[in-house]
Amino acid sequence: MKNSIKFLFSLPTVFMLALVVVVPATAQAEEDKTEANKGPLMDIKVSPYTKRPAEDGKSVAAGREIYENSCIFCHGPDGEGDGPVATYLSKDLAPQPRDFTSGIYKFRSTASGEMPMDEDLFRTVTRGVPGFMPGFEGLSPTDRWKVVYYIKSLSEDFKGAEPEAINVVGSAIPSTAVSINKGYEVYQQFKCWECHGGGGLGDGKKAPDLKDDWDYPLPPRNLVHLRSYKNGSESVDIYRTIMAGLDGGAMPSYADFFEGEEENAWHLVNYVRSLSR
Amino acid sequence: MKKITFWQTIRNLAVYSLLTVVVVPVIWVAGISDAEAVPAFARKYDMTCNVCHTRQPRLNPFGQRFLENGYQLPGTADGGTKEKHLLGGELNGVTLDDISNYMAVRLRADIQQASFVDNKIIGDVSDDPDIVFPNVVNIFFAGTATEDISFFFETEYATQGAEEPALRFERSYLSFNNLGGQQVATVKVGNFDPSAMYSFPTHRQTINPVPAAASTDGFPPEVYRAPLLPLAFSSKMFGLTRGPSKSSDELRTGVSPAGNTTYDPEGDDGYSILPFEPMFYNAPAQKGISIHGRPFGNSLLYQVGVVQAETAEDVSKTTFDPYIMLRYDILGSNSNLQFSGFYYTASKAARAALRPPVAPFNGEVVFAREASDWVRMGVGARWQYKSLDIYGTYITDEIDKPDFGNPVLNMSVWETDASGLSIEADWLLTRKWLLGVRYDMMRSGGLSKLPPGLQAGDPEINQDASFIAFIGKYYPTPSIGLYGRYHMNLEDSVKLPAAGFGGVENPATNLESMITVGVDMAF
Amino acid sequence: MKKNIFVKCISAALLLAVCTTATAAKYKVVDVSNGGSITGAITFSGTPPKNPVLKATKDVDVCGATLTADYYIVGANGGLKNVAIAIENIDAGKAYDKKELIPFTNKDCMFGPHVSAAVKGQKLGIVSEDPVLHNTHLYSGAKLKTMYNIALPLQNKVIKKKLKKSGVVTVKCDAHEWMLGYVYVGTSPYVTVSADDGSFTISDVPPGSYKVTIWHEKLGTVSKDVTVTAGAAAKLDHAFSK
Repeated sequence: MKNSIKFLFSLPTVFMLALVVVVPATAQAEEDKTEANKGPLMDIKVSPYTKRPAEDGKSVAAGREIYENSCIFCHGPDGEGDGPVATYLSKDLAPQPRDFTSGIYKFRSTASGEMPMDEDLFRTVTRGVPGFMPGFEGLSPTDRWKVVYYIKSLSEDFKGAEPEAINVVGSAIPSTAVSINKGYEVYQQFKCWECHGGGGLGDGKKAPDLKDDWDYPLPPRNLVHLRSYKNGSESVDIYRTIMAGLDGGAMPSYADFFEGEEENAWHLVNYVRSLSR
Repeated sequence: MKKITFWQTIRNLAVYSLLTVVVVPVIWVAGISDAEAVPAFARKYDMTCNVCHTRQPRLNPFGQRFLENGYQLPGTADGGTKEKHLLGGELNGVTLDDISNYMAVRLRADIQQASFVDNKIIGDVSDDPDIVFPNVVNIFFAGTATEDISFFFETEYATQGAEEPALRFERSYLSFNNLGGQQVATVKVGNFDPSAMYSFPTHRQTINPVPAAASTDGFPPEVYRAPLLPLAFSSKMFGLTRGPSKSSDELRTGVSPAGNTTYDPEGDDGYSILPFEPMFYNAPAQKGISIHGRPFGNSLLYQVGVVQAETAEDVSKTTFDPYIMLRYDILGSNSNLQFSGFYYTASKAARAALRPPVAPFNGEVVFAREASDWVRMGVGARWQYKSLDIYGTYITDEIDKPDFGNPVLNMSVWETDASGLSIEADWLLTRKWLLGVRYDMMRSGGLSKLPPGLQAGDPEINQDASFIAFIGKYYPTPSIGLYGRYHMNLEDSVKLPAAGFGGVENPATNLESMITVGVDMAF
Repeated sequence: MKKNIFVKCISAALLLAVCTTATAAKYKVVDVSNGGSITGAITFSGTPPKNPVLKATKDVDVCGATLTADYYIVGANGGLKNVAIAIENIDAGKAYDKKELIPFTNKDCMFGPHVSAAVKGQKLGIVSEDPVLHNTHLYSGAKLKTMYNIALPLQNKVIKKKLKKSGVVTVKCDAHEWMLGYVYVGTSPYVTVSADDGSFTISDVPPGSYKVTIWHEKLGTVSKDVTVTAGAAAKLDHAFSK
């Protein structure tokens, strides 16, 4: 019967649908890291043969053109984060596209209250922000630097600012049970659970009503979804988030409390990463 | 009334229940949150749906540019090799993403309840619940094979419409992007919707189109239920056909050697063009080539192309209809304003026909001596401002006045102009709620009056149509939409049989209203 | 790396050179032997607005269910507390302790003191005395740009942060949204906050004419011209009203 044949066609459909569901659940985040560009916190894949273009009027103008082709739809005609896509992307909720004129940046390697480094902006343009901003690796590194220079030109606060990367003490520690346990103790003692919840689901007692600097609701990160960490989920990224805080959001800097005991921060990083297993 | 059989209904119900019961919970369990519930492109770039969509299926400006750029991020040629599988060797091989990054599924299912004027009974309204499960499942594969070469293949399994439910290829095309430089010229070849970049792209409507329930095998066509689709793009012309394929002698004189023309009821030799039939620069898919780009700066988009179409004189033969479209974009704070216009010409696109019941014709179909050229022009605009999205198009059509080679028949009255307007306003009330209003209007053309003496009464044969629809769509996640919509026929005070035209109720008025609730989801 | 340090040293040196030759920008310490003073009282005339009752949405066991805001503290005779008074355009004057730590406490889920005065370049000593997590989030300027956002997970550990910008520094706590405090950072040590009875004194002011800003968090800002003569106390009163 014709009908049965048509029915059979729907079986591959079901099979394909099953595949569609299974495959993304097992997809792995990309692991390729070539050499960092500068300092241990700049995890950028940049060819050593590419030189940074000069930060001058020409580069800024070229950056503006690239911005108009790729960025303007979210970030707006004047970089104020008011592009026509902003409403649809995240209506009435954070994150909204960055308002470059405010000079406030979440993803930095500098101390709380400081401007980001150029490399921080480059990293964000390259990697994107999981869930909300695509990564523009399709632009050449030179083009990405030009966009960074244009973005910097949008806020007075970059003028004369010489941001310095925070001093990274130590590096990622192997994620052993001992380390994770120590990290758990830090998580308790430093009260991370009050916002991020006992199980890291972002449901701590302080979590309701947390807002960002623009009064959009911005709840604490659900630490179980490692791929969704907007500042990155590698060990150095998490270290950076804890130390620098996320200016513009509620996440404060813990650098003062880890002073002299930075190893505990790396243990905490291991514990946080262990929550997703 | 051609109803779907009971067993077909059961079968459809089983298939779609299976899909819903299996797919939706599995995705839920996989723990996909707002930022992660995503079909293919969103999986590939790790983004939520609404980076590209206002609300699925409509595109926001970023998604429009992504589409324009051949499914690559705007301003880039990121076919690239990141996270891809290399096929065919290291050098110049074809690179493919993981299948989940280029395959997606869209499922639409709804329950319709229509009230319409019953056959042959003028003035009586019947409320047929007509609880059908018209369903559409699209599986599509779209992505980049390498930098600046993209592909798109879509299969559709649809149970709606007069035809048997079938699995067929809908759109399928290749796109060669950014030839001659970024945004200079992108060439699409294959089967696709030419209006994809127009301000009113017919393929991406908040409301799924409901096709006509009609039989076009005979002449005049029998329409049981008027369709609900963007009327601006419909043919708008009454009394036109395509075909039949006959010898050129017969076509020229309009009369066969035996003395009459015959109209093959099987439909292989031609068919009636419904006034509601989506035509020309329009979805669902047209074979053709299109070239588009923005070489004159970022604001002006051009598109030129040709569509392969059947000729009216012989439906087994094809011709190429050319078109051109221009669109101007103004992007501002929270605002995206677009103006577009297009011009489409189809030569020998349709053939006027009459079926006079009196001697010497005796109910035979008589065709005009020559098929008519058809020119279509449209203007469109779209304005997105914060959470308001308003878009519309006004389209005019013009055909030639037909010559039947017979002085009596040539006294029939034909309106050679017609126009249509489709406009919709969508308002994203909250993150999950979309409300919309849509207005469609058709000022029809084509056959207006039969020759004197052949038509009882004075009503015009070609009737205008207008509908208004109210839509509410709820998105529990960005890629699942649950909708309800209510259509009202604004012309339903006109209840006329089109006498002489075939004696069936007028297709513009026989649908009074329709309520539909359904689901529109993509994975 | 090395090249960078070299560049930084050169630019730091240049910056220093520029700064020491700048005139109106930086405050200079000079000997003030014949100074006068500005003294007075800030009052509120009429019935002051009611302090709103703040609902504690978090940590009710530590903070209590409700707290009373401290925006309007009006004493007997209408004296208005927590008004900042500062001389705006003075570039040379008395010495002050650059290393002084301005205290700033999180206690019982409120900031104390509610309004403090400091000199640009001094450090704020931020501490929590509560057993719950506070984060002290400082903003500068009218646009409220984040200056610091410091977590305070442990009690009684003082964190020192330099006040790099002058003007009104707004302090909030993201964890406890009702908490509000201010630091008025002056360009000179001639800055103070009115006491419970609204009185204040700014002493050792070099004789001259000055612009004085009087600032209240809710009632607004006024600017007054004051002339200080040697050895005398210039009177400066102001009455806010609704």
